[in-house]
Amino acid sequence: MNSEEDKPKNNNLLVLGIGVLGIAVVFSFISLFLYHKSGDIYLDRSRPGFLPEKSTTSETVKSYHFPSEGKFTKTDLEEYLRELDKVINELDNLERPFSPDSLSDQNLNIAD
Amino acid sequence: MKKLLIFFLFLALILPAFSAAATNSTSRAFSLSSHCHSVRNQLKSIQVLDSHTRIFLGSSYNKLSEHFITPFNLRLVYNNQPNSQLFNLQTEFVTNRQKFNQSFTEYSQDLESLLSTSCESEPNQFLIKLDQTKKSRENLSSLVTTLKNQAKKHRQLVEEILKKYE
Repeated sequence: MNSEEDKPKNNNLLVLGIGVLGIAVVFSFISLFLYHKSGDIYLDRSRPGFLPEKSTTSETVKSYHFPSEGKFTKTDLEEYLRELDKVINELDNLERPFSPDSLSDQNLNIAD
Repeated sequence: MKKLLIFFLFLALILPAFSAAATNSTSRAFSLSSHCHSVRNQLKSIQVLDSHTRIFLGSSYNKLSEHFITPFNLRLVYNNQPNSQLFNLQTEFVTNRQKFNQSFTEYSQDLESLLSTSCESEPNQFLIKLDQTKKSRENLSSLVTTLKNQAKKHRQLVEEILKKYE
């Protein structure tokens, strides 16, 4: 008698379990879709082989932040230009970022 | 008769061009099939390097915008010396930075789609996707140049302000 009464309860538990799994799968797919669609996947440093080298992360001007208040002085402006030059030089030192040559037929060895 | 002659002349002119394009495409596909493995490895290395470059450039542009350009313009306002050229440059820089982010995503999607295509069984499809990826990479490269030039232009305008204090 007891085992017959337990049957609907067991069924409910099964439906609940499958339902929860179903919802988890749907939400996982949605989040993976958004992760891919938003482009975040291409910025994710934790992917294997995608961790940046220490040399490619800049530390030189990390602490500098130009104050947005106060009078302009010659010293302030000179310091500003010095610090700005550091960032611009880093950009200049980067050898042709995203150069189209990397994907050229010659470079990929598929030219005639 | 005259119309027919013109038609044949037209065909004579256009057919060699089509034929040359088809031969070139076939030879590329043949060359690709024979170097398939090395091409794929090269593309994967480019993908990893690009990811590092994107992170470096993204942090540099963020630094330029948040630590330099925006606070500088705010200070100009604070001192009642707004400079329209510097303000326009800030707007353009921010817009191009957003375009750069978007372009990188598009380029990465093209490159990933290229890598998921088999160069052995679908060489022609692979070449079409390669050409598409080249275009999106060129677009990205030109945005990088534009952003660097805008940073230099900002520097030049600040230097002009400095001259007034000398």
